[in-house]
Amino acid sequence: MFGRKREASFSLFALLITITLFFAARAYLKEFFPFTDKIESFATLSTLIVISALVYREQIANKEFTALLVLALASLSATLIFEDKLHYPTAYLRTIWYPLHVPLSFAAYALWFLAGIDAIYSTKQLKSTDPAVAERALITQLNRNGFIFFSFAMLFGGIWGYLAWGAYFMWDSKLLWSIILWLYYGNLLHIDALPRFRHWKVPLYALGMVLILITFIGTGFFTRSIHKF
Amino acid sequence: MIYSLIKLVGHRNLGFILGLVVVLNLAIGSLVMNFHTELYPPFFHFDLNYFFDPVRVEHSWLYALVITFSLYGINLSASIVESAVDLVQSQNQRLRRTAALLIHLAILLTMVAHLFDGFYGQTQQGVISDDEVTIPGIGLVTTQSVESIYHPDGSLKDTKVVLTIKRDNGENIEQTIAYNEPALFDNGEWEIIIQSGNREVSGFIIGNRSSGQEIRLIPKSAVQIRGGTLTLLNMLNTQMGPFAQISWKPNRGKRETKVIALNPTTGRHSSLTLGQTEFYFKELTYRPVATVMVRYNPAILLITFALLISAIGTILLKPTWWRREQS
Repeated sequence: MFGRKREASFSLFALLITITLFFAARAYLKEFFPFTDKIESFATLSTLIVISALVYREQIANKEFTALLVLALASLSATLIFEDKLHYPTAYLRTIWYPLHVPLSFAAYALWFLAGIDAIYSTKQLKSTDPAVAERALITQLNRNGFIFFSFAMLFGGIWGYLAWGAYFMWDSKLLWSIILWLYYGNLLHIDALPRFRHWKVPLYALGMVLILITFIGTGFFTRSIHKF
Repeated sequence: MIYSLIKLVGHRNLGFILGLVVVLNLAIGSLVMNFHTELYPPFFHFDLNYFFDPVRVEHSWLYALVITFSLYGINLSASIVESAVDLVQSQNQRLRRTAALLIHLAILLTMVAHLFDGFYGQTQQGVISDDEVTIPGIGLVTTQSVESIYHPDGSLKDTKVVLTIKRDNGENIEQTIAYNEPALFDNGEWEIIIQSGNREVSGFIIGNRSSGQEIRLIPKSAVQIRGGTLTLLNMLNTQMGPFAQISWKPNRGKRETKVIALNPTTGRHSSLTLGQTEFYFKELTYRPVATVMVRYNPAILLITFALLISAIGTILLKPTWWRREQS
């Protein structure tokens, strides 16, 4: 089905427009943007995965594109689990640092997920022993872009934390796992320059997807984090 | 010789492994904190003294983390020196090397700032009303007013609290705080952060219908009126509604304890006879009260500098689509 690029891209653009309308209606009703509950949170992740898939459509194989769409669909389906009730933002969410912090981290999750899927369907470039070739590989580019997004998300989150709770870091599982992710993917940025560890690249990127799931879903559902969505 | 040692200590392979060990250590820490709820309250401040007073087996992950982060920091310091030397000597990929150098330096400075804040930072919580409260490091603080706004479903949208602050240096400041808008002092080292704000019952007013006289009563404060002295002992919420206990000491005669209902619809229960005069309950009085957190972040300047160079370094990393356009 997704081999037919034009139809697939058209369907995805239609989905994006639908989700945009969904968000616009909710933002109007709540007088607030971007999101305040798990439904909107999963819809955002789904959207960002779709956008990443479209942006990198020409550089990834059909199998990878399909896997991303399945992932986006899974994220969208997760919205059906929760009771659909409009949540007004708490006082802490009403700041410019919130829309700067959260969507950027979600964009990083999407890019890193794409890197993980690309690693599983590893290309010839990944197997290359030439660091220059490896450096140009999509997986490295995705990680760098994800790292840039996540770094800014962390910077904005730190400023928000200082203004709202008096500290740029607190003992909270979501914060701890965000640092884990940032250090992990920052570390992976070096792997192309380390011949001894290059064969770890694929498993480490694949493991990265598990870490993202723990950070995004695990900490919100199974821990006492105040970050519930 | 020294440079060779620096290269050895800052070896990238070692840094990569240490990075993964730190990640593993943090993940274990997160699990331990989640399963020992009695030791780790949710969302608590970064206070390193807590982990050493007393030393506990459950905190082992943090002791290990201090060691792994220290080793990581040493490796990072050596690699920063090496990168700086390389940057001076080589003309290749200067922008990218500068980005890496700045980000590594920012990580190191953040680690130092965390140590400093973790051991020397402070968190206090308190209530500030219209009575002056002394906050060490800040001065004498009072709450002037509290105003809250709400969403259509009744949930809190925001609260604004106006504080007056007399600094130790004699400066008088009026500052409004709200959620995400703390009061900052001394370049941001000290903060007053709102946690909640409301109006609290501070006492009530009784009046005399024929003379129009009104008396404002607040707990434990004696009021001299014609015929004796009146003191509000306390205010109680009972199943029958709110009541107040009052001590009445006539100029001539024994002290009496009287009770008055703080509800004007309860007829004679909401009136008092003091000497020859009858008073009735008129209205409750309120005062603004803010619950605040006072934070001392001694390393805030260092962390701000680290954030700044980290942001510059991250921009210099440049996303791939930007690189493509330039090439």
